Amino acid sequence: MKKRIFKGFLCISIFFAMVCTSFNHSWSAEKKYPSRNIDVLISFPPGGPIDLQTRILAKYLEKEVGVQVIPVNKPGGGGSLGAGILASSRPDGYTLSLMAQSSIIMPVLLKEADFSIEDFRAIGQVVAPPPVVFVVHPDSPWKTFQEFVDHARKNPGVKCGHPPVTTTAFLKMSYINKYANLKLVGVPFKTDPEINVAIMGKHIPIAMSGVAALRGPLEAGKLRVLFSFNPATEIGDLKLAPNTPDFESFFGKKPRFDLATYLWAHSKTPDEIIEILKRALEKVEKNPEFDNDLKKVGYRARYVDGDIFMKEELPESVKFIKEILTEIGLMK
Amino acid sequence: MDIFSGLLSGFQITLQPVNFLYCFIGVFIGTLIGVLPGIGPTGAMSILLPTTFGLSPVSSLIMLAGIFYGAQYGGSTTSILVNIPGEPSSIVTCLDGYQMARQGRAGPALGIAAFGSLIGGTFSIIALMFLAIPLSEIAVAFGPAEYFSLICMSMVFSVYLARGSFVKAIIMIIVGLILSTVGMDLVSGRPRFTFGCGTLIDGIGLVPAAMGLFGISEVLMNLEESLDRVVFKAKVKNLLPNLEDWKRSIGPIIRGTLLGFPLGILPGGGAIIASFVSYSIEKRISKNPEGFGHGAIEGVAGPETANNAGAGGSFVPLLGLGIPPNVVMALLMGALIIHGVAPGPLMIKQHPEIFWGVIASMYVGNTMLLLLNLPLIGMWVKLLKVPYRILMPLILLFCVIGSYSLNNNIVEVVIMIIFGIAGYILRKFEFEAAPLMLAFILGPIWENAWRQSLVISEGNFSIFLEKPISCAALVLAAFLIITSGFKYYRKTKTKVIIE
Repeated sequence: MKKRIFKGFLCISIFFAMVCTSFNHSWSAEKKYPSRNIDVLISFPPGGPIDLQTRILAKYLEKEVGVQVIPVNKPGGGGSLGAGILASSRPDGYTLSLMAQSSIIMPVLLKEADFSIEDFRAIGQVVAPPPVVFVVHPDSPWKTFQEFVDHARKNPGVKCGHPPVTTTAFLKMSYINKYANLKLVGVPFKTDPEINVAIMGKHIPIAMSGVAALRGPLEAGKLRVLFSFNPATEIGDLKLAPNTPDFESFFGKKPRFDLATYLWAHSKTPDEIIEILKRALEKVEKNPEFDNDLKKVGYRARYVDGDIFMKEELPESVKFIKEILTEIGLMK
Repeated sequence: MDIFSGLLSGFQITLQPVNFLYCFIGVFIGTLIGVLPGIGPTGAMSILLPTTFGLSPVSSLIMLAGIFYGAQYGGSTTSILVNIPGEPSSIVTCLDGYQMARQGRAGPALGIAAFGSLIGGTFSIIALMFLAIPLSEIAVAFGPAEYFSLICMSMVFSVYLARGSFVKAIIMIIVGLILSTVGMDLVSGRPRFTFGCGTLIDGIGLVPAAMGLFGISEVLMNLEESLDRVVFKAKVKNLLPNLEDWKRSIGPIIRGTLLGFPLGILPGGGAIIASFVSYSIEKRISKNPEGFGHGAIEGVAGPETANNAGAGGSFVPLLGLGIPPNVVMALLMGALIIHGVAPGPLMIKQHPEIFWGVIASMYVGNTMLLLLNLPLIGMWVKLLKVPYRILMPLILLFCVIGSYSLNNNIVEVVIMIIFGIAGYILRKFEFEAAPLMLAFILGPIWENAWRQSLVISEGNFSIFLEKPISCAALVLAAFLIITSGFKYYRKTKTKVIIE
């Protein structure tokens, strides 16, 4: 008899627990935004550059919106998994994602996404475009970028390491490859640290890499930067050699090509919520401590309004990525 | 800085009440995470990362590191007790550890796992102390070609994971390789075999697959037995390994340490591979290979030591070069960077207190873990007395929660169930999961290394023989195949003669 009562009680309490946990959205519909925690999806594994940016952003955004901002890692598909989750989330402003444009545009162009670009709305840019650089081993025969360029043009097929095809760094490398006619052959790697190891072990002569993973080896003199895609003002604490050229100083004015990271929400999110978030982002960007934290990871703060970006830059980005993908044969 | 004075200052830092507390919190959480199937150290560390923002770099790193190697200790507990790998590096422990538990020897299994982990962990810390910088130089010597050949060698070893038929093991390896191709291809960026399913775009998850193949299939197998049968002998004495156990284990422990530490250094390698290879080697050199898979304590001692030694080894590239060899180290690197410290060769000069503080905390942490885990053995063994009809549903519940907790994704639970059913069917036909698992883990690394090497060499296959490390590994693999083939040939010939 006692056993039966116990079993019954157990069943009921389990059932009760299940029922309670299935309610989690409907109650706060009427309250002012934000009235509960905001999730920010990170489409990459922890420890990576976007992960670090998001965590720093979350730390400061919390202060502006007054609720907890929780970074949630949803790695997969070179960034497309997180994008897909955002596209199918409720447009109530409680699910956001800090994403590089390539995470959205590439899967759509390659027809592998179950979302379209119209599913998203950019709120704003808070971090200046991720810096990518060409790195070589300190013993490398190329002392300046010009030497490398001359060598590459004369000897087509120089091997250049790069992160996965879906990343911004790869797109920038393809851009330079095409624009400067370098005829490089890409060697793909899964992560930036792997690229750095390959350079340090002299397995490949040159590679394009993001700066976040670079600091330790660079400061210890195990790697040398030959060229930086971004001007020095957009790179954080990282000290590049004094004469490292950037794109503009080397190639002159070029078509606008940033592929910066933006904070995105579902496109159907109400305008008032977007406005609240925009104001919050602006305040975060003006906070000098935010910039300081970003500098430590190799980035700088910068605010660009999301709607302006979507109207003017986004179509250009799509066009550009399409060009690159067709060029390397991923698209017909 | 002189090593002893460095270490002494490290202990001074670690034994401060604040850091001591964080060390304890870290290893405690790590053990819990390891025991609970599903969420792993990466998940726990990323959740706890924001809490470290307010702490000093040393404290944060001590805590996060504690979670990491604590998880290696805890992972073996569920592997031994219920055949569910709490951590991927504990998959191999399931093979013999669980069998030992079924024979009423769960206590010694848990004990030797704990002691082996301590020895492996401590040794790797000592090696880390003295050899961090020179060893990291070795780490960079491994490029795509070297990886390819090294994994060729590992694949040859993996055949020894099976206790039954040789041919069936090879079939399982091939199946594992095929399964590993699911996901986005590195070179072309196109998804393979994902059938439009977003969850599969990064491949089949290792954790749901392992939990399914080992844990769920075990539950299904047990459903066949009559419910009253007491499978576990619940003798409460004999909680610790006896002298005989120690005699048999000392060799595997030493070999596991020596093997695990270098494998942990290699980027992409790590504790998991160390545990698999240790098991294979122990079986290969054992005088009694048939005992493996039926409760041979060497099969627990070796891998458990190796995986903890590997965990220590993976700190080498991070602290020595600033290169994180796996996801956990990448997280630690991120944490350090956020605190304004760039890990790398300069870190020892610029922030010696961090380097030595962390090293000293590892000694303290490993000891804490032993003290935590040993008394718990009695409690764990009592858990096995719970009748099957309550234990099995609970196991299922934990597995479901565990696989869901990874990414809040129900598809992963479905994957686990599918693998569970598949695992059950495989076991009925006497195919084994361990070779499949290893091939599944190594497959992507192998394939990518192969393709990267060929891009670098422009299609020229000789690159694998031109590079010295790669050549050595391939020769060793060939040698292993030939000698095994010889043994097999001789055995069959003798069989025929006898008949």
